[in-house]
Amino acid sequence: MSQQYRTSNGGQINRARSISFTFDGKSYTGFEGDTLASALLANGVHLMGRSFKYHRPRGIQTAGSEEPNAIVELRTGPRKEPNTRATTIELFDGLVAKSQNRWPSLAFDAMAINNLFSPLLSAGFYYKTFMWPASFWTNVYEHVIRRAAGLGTAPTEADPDFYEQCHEHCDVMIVGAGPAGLSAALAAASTDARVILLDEHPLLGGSLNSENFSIDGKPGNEWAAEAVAKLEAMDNVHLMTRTTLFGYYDHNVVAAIEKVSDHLPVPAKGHPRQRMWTFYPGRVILATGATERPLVFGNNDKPGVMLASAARTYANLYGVKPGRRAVIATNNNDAYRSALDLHRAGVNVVAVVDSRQHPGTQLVAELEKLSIRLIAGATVGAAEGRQHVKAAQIVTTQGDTLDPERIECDLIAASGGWNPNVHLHSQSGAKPVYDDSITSFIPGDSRQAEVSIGAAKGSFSLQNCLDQGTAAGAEAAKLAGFKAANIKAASAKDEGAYAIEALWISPTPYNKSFKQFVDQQNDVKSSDVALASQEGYDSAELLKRYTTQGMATDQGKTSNVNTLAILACQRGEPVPEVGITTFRPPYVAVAMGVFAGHTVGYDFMPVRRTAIHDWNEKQGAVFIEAGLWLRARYYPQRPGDTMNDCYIRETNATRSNVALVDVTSLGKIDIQGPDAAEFLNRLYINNWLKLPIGKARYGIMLREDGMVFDDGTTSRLAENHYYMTTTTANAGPVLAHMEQYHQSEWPELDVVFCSVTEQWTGIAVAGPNSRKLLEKVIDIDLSNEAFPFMAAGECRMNNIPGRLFRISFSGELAYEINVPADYGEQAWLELLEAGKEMGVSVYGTEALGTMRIEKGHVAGSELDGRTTAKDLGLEGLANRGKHFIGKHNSERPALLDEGRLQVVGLKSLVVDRNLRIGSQLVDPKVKLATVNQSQGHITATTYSPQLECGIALGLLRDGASRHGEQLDAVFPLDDETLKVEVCHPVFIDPEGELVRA
Amino acid sequence: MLRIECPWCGIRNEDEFSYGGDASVQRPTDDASQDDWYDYVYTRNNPAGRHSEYWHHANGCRAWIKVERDTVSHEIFSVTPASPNLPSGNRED
Amino acid sequence: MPKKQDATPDLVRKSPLLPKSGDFIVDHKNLRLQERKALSAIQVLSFKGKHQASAKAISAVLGIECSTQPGVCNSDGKTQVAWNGPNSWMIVANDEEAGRASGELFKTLQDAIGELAAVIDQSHGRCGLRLSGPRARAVMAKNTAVDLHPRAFGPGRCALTSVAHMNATIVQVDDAPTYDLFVIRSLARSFAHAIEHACHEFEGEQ
Repeated sequence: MSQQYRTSNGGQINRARSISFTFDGKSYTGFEGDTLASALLANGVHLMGRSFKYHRPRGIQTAGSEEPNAIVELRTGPRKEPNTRATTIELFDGLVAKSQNRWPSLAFDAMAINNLFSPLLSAGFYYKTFMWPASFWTNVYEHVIRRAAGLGTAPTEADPDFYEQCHEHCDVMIVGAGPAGLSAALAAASTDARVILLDEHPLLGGSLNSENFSIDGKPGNEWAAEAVAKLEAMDNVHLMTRTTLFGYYDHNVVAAIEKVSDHLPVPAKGHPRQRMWTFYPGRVILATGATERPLVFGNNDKPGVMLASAARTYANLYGVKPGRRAVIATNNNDAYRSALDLHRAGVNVVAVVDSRQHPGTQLVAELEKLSIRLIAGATVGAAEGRQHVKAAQIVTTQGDTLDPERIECDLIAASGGWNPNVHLHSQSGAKPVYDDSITSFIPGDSRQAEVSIGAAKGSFSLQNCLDQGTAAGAEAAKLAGFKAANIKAASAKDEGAYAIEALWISPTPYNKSFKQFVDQQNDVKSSDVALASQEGYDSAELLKRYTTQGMATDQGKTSNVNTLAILACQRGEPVPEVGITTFRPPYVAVAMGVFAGHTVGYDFMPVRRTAIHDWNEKQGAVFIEAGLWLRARYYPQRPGDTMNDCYIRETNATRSNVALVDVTSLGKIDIQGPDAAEFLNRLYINNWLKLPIGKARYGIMLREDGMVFDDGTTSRLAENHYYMTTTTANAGPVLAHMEQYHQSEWPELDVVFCSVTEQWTGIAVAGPNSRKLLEKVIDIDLSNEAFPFMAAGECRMNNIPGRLFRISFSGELAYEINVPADYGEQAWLELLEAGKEMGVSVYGTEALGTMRIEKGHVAGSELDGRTTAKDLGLEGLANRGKHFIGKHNSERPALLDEGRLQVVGLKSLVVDRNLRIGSQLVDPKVKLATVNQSQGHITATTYSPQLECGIALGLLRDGASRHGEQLDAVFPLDDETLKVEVCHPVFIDPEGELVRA
Repeated sequence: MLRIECPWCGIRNEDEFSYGGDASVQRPTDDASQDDWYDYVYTRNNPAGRHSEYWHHANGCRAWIKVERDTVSHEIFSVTPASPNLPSGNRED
Repeated sequence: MPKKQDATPDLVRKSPLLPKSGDFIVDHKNLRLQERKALSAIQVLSFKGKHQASAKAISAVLGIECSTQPGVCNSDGKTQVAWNGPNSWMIVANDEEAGRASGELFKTLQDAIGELAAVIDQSHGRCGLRLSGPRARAVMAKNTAVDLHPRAFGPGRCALTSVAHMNATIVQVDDAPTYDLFVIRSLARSFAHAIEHACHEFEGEQ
């Protein structure tokens, strides 16, 4: 029979809409509005999984996100999600779920043998048991432990859904839409403040939906629905369901996860599966309610043992009887509601067992009216049953525990009291404090703009919740700058005092040893807490790490306070002396995908493309990432072309004729103002005061510590107008560096500057025929006399306006032309067209690198942040008669030392073998045993078509004076040693005749 | 996440800014001793508490600012422009 | 001196957003996204002590109030004068709409305020996108942390911030709401893709 545990009426489920689903391969039906847990309970299914360490059978403990036990694998294939809580999964048609951590089946689990070997798995077992030998870790322990203990398995296919992130600001944010939260929202919203009210459930109302309350003469859930309708109609209110605030960060920034599509078989078109919200609220009201804590008795983890409030939630909210014969165990008045509600739902409540000697007379009378037996001064000592509770063994809380009374039942609904949900308050930086009157922690002094109200503050009476909500909503709006609210709190029927008397551990019947679980998800028992304490791990923070209590995916929501109290009992101290651990985000488990948001696949990183990108792509260029830029690395011409084939061909074509390369990604900075030259003078080691208009100069910048920061050419375009270029990598850092010095150190300088990298497409035209090519399209005189090496000026290329620079990175006669970027591709095509008859070609960054190494131009691999201008052979550029950044620290004795690494050229002495970046340079007479014997290393390598051998640049100790020496270039990872000869870093045209041709 | 009030742009998220180091150190003059220059680059206090630091509104208006921040609580006491000469936009410049 | 003007093709600005340039990238009932093509974007950086004078001169030459208030963008419906930093403005217009020849805006400003400020042509360095419709603010909320709620932002306001993790300028044009988004040209495709992606959720709305 289907849904045999469903009540005949009641609950906020839609009985007209039946939903079918499968659990462990078996089909069931439930109703719209069910959770997976409530639907399974309606079908009499309690057994949900096996526990983490001992593989004990586990059922459903709670009815919310605090659930430690009922965790399942949801869905299949790429959408499979392990470790989801059955208590929060909304039922949808075709839902497929599977129990976890059992083999071969849930009912018969071979690993349950761990249960018998539990002494091996006690507190700190990882630290104690598997100390040595180390090889056993990977070979034995790892495999055994991984198979024996663990949670679900991750999907192996890519997630087909997407996630996104969103931001929202408001004046007042209210977290939790129970009676306190709704009252706060009504009050705050009435002032016109921007209000966000969010709740993790699909239905707003919190406890008003799961309890039989009455407000303003109406059933609680009706009052809630009316309040929600009212708020929905206001345009200053944003109501959010299925949204859990999981992190409270500095400066009142909070983050939440909205489960947009988790309740659907697949997300609607264009909709994310989940969305992460970052909120920037003026004030935060935490109406997060309270979580009931279990009683710690023997076998309190058996399926059929449940929190008292969860039992009545299933009856009231979902119309499900969580059992047929119930025993209620409590130490407070609140759980009496469970007795009454379960009775009303048709459950046979066989006894209420109250650890207090003298329960309130009103409660006694109410039970009497319903003929429910009350046993005062007693509690459940242990549960009986294998895979489900069969009976409760009742012991007295004072005196003799040898002879328990056995009461047959299939449900033990237990309440150890309520813990205010102080997690977010604690995350905000505040310290919760212990309140003896409710034997739990309540919020302490606020450290940020937040306040807790209602049950989250330890006020468990409904009227208090309504009153505090109304007052807090009005106050928060006022503090956010809005006029005072004029709104009265709703009124509720008095439901009596809470009257808790602490009971942290139940006495055990027959003085036998039972497993009394504290943290059910991580299988931590009261005896583990005792053991840890005996072994000296007796502070709250140490105990947590030693036992792993509170470190499972439920973050110890039901176990933290019990653990601390049991530790206090062990230490013989009051609970506040033990203190409380700090709660950290996230409050609930959050999928990694939501942190990535939309930045996956195409959007993983923004990509910078040049104006010539499309042309490069059409040519089949192979690209390389340079920061965010995509640059053409080389251009394969025919099938089978390797990178080597390409860059050698491209280099030869450039050196023998003429070729183009896209250099758009170089940083470009426009500098103007009367003090521009002085500014440059302080930035660069070179002198800039005498650079004529129409000339470019190569410059070196240091960092303040004396190391080289960046290099590039800067040209003087007009009297007070300069145009700087930087390396691709340092375009951003150089601009920020200039801004910092100008603003914080030299604000007196009248100079302004900004990046113009994006305005210009840069094309270098290099090779002996470059002038010949440009003369066909450029409107200015390019003769050596009119436009010599390092000349700079404006020009037109056909009718494209541009700037022309006679600079060379390749060592050839070369020019760089800049044109406005929207004309970049056109300029490129016109150059190719004009050069067609002379056989112009193109080259990529690989050939660019080859030519710069041949020419001995240093670049990023030599400017590694540890080299000085002297190390790089560029000290001659420095004008030490003026001030510049890094001047003083570059003169420290150690940086002038002769033994420093200096840039050198290296030639491979092995035919057909190229050198390798990162190889260490060592004396051939010494075997390289340690890095201490390294005299330097190789920074950049290539095959040189000019020299017809492998060449490199390297940094070698005292290198400038060692040209001609032979060394070993050693690459120990591949056990490779190559003979090299040290030489001058400029391999070709040392006199610079080509560039001046 | 810190929220930093740019004197020009208003309150913005920390990720719009990049940290620029200790703003309490004074850059020495050109004729200062080698030791002063060494200290300027390498010697730093690491206070648990109030600290003056440079931040750059790199993803915003590009201004450098001085932020007085408590390194323990992250409380920000003041934010001022690093340059005395940049127009404030709010006053007569 | 050889000049090859005869064989020269006409100058055509090529958008970084091709092949999507010109069309609506998004065209839903509640949302439209389109490139603002062929813009002039002129950056002005006032010299020391010349900020107020620069503002006055710009106001005079364009007939649009150039505000020294941070985050203000005044416009005559064709030309926008957007605050662009403590000593900077970005002046943006589609030349055709504004009835100017290509390059004229730069020259006008250079002539008018060249002594007071650096006038820098960024026309080819910026890509402009216009996002408009009742859902535009929801799309922006997925991409920027700046509060664009009508109480905090509105027509005539601009912000320099991070949008979809990229530096951008947001200018609110009207109450539709319509936002103009300016981003560096090399990022145009990544940027447009991120905004387009954020629009998908509202595609099916009738």
